[in-house]
Amino acid sequence: MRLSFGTRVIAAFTAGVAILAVLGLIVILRLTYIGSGLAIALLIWLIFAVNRYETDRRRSERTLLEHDQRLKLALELAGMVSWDWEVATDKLVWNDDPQRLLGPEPDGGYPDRKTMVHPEDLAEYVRAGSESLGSGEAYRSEFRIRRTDGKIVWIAARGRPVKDARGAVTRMIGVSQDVSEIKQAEQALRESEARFRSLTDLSSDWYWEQDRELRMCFHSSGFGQRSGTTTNKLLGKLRWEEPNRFPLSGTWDDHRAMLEAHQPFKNFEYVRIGDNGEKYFISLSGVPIYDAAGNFNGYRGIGTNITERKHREEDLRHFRVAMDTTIDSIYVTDLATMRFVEVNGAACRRLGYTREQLLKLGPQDVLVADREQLRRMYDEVIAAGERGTSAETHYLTSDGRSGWTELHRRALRSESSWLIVTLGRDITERKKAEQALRDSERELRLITDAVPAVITYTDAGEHMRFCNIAMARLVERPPEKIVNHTMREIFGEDRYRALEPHVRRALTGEDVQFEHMQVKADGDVLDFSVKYLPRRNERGEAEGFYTLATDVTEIRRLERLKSEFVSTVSHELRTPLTSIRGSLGLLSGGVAGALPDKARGLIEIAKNNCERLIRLINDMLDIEKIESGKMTFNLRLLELMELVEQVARANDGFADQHGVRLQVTAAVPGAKVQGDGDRLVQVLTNLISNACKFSPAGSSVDIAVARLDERLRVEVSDHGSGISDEFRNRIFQKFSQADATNTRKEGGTGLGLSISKAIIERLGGRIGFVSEPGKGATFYFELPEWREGSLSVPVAPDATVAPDARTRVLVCEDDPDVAKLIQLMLQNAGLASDIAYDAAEAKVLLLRQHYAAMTLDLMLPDQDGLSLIRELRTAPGMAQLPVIVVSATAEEGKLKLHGENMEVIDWIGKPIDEDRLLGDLRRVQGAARPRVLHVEDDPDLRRVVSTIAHDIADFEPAESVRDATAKLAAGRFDMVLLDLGLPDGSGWELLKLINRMTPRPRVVIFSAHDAGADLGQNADLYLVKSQTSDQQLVDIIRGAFNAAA
Amino acid sequence: MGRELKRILYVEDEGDIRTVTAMALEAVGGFTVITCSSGTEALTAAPDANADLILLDVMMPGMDGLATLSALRGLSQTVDTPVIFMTAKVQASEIQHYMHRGATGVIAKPFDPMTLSAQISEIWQKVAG
Repeated sequence: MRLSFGTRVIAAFTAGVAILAVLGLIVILRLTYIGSGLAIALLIWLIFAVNRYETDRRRSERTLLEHDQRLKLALELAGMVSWDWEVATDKLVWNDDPQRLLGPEPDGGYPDRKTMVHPEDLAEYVRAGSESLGSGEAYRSEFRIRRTDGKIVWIAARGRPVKDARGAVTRMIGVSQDVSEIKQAEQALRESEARFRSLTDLSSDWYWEQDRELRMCFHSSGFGQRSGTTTNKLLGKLRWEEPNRFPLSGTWDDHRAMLEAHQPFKNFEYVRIGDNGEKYFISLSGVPIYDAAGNFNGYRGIGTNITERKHREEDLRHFRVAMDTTIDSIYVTDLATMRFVEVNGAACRRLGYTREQLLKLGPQDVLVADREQLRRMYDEVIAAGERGTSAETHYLTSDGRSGWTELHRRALRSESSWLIVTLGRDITERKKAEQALRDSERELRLITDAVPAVITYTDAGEHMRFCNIAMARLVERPPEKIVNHTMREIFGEDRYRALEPHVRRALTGEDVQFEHMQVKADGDVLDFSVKYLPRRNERGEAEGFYTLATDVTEIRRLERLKSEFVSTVSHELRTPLTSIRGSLGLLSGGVAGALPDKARGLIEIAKNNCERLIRLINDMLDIEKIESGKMTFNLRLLELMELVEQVARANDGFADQHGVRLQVTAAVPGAKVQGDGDRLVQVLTNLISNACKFSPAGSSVDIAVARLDERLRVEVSDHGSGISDEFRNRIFQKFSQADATNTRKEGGTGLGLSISKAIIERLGGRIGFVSEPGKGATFYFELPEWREGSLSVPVAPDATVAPDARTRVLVCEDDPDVAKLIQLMLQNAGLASDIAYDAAEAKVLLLRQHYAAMTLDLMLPDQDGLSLIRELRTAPGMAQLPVIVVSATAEEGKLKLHGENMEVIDWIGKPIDEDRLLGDLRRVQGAARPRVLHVEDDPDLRRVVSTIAHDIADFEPAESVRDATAKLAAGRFDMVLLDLGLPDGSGWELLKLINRMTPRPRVVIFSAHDAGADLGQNADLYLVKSQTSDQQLVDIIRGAFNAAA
Repeated sequence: MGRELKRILYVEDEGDIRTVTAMALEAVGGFTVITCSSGTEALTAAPDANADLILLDVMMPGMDGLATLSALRGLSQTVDTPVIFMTAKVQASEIQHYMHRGATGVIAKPFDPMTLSAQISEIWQKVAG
């Protein structure tokens, strides 16, 4: 060992000092020889000892130095600095250079160490120090310091307290080390672990490890909730030891073999029945791990819960099966790529591609549309939301054929884009059928358009589904504004109301036929004969109806012409016939002298044929009157039996000619009917003469009268050959005769039964027959029996009564002389009058004619005068009739009323006070004001109008077409104020009726509908409610009457 | 009154009918017939005709039957002479109308010449009998 120069100097110096000390002792102590010897020996020992010591010391010094050096080196290498802390003085002595830890030493030395310690760590630093001092245990502390160069470093300090002989701790020796790097590494590790944990927490995956025996040894957190079991149950187990888990493909043995071969594996899938009983689908991937020496150390890997995916896959599989089994094509298009992302088998078959081919295409490749068009369409699909859209479009197949498809589209939001799900149904066949239908419809249209009649089809909802061009022309709307519109829209409210009842009937399955007047915008009035023919479904319910409407305007015009013609011709024919018949009659009567037999025979032939011609003309005239609605009836109260007997007697001669006995076999004494006697005689004569004609000679014709409930039946039975079956249905038709040759033989016209039927029906009765071929026939007619209180009989207004209603008075008086007298008085006062000899006649006249007043005798042959007044007061249109009682019993009658108010103008006794009567009449006449029938369904409006115009005219209200028709038939009106929209029909229908009346009341249409003033051409005036002020209305009504006066 | 029907004033514009009717009345009924061809002629003839009954055609040019009736009623000689209309217009309402206008009866054309006189006599009986 090499010692330093200093050490050697010290050793030499020590040896020298020792020698000198020995010599000094010898001198001082005058030691003896022995002593001197001892001293020298001691000196020698001493020298040796010193030498030895010196040697030992040097050796140990060397050793120590080596140790010290080694330690220093170790400390330096470990980055440690040792220190010695004197507790009493709190002085810390650094044994090594502390700069490594504390940074470069400043000029004034390091600051107090406590100021260098990081404030957050100071408490710990102090605590660790004092704890170690207190306990004597080892000192360990880690803390941060701020170095003199500003760096913050972690220091780890270890120390051991050192005790003195008394056992007190006086100092502590230790080392400090910069552990910043370790700390950072630890921090990094912690962060890394935290990251890993959050990762496994957040992801649906977990991390696992298996040891080298393949037993589960680790699961990351989150495993439990994701896998349906808990870590504890699995730790230490082999994967296949767990019950209720099954690999989805292969076997556990396969898996085990793979693991034992230390193969990595990926996406090994199995299903586990979880602790909650539900299925958990799990996918595992793992890699073998090896230690540094390359020894197999187990597996690690990740696990994933794929339950949801599996369910989705399952759903998808179901969906695909469903998709493939449907006959409709299904396409799913990704809007981002404009490619199909899913198609079904039907789509492939329809378009002639394989699935793979189709998935490379998009809608633009198979539809006749470019991308832009498609995109616009898809925008609409997206906008339509859940409703989706539908369209019909052309498609192209792979081989270039095309077809029609009906597409239903819906948009679905995918993660990145929109998916359009399209369901396509092939409608090529339907389209072909539609085309064929269109072709056939076009043909139908061509045909129906060529027909001059209106043809339409209307469904149960009253929507018109078909119309021909005639319909379009009629309503002056293009077909597209007719088809699929309701009848109400097409015809307008007023006209629709007139049609509605017929429509209702048609929709209940009834064939309907009626006449309808259509007023065109230009004012032309067209008459239509309309037929509604219901279309029935298989259950027989009407699901709509066909309309066939023929314009009969021209026919009606011709009918009028014919009517006039027939009337004129008949009259003109009668004039020469009068001469012919007269001449023949005189000749055959011998007035011109006796004729030779031959001439007589010829004259008889001429005379009979002349008679027949006259009957024919009369019958034709009757038929014409019936058909034109001009047949009038002179209604009277008739004793039916009297009439029957009279006709029977009158026909006795005729019966005799046929060798037939005429007898009345059953009677109803006292039976009364209201009717026209002449007409009933005509009917009965016709029935009797027919019966006689067809009876075998020697048989009887029986006339029987019977009462059936409220009707009276008159039967005429013969014992002839009866009515043949083929004749039954047309027996009441014009010119119908069982055997044409018969006509000539029997001299009939073939019109008799037709006329009879019309007459009986007009009198409110019915006519019919029962017959058994070979056993004769019974013809009968029935009429309502007249009873007390019966008043109205359906009769058309009589056109022949003079229209001087305002100055005409009805004289109801049974004594002809008195009647004439009153008539004369009236005549002198310039008043016209009619005489009714009994109450029945009075009622008939009142029904037909409007009178300014009536004079009434209380003692009438058929009814008490007072009861007649009462009856009149309740009858429509007669309630306001001024009545002047002119009677010998006037005063008694007045008393009989007991103050009952019957609005009798005056009670005049007999002899008649002429001045009083005329005075009364003048007052009445003054008050005999125009009568206005106000046809209006709004009662308030009726009240308003009658209030504002009460000083001009009397207003009779009518609230419906039916009401108005009855009132027009019952009484005379000077004006009709007409609303068009009425609850049961249209005012136009009424106008049609009014236009046929003679005299025709003036018509002022007063309607809410501004249908165009042109439409009012058939009326005298057309006012629109909203455009007419009250004053205007008053002025117009007043003006109308002034003009008429 | 019981007066006998002897003289008839007959007004008819149609010559043939006039002839036949007059013949029937004269030959069958034994009446004296004064014939006129128009209403105007009748008015001229009436004062001197001394007719028991007037037979009037309705449809005549110029003055028709009704007008002639009114005019005849204005003459003192014919103010209440019964008048019978002869007409082809014999609707019930028409007959009633004539009756209201003062006719005593109505006879329809064409008529049976052999019974015409009897028909007229019947009506005459009603007013005169």
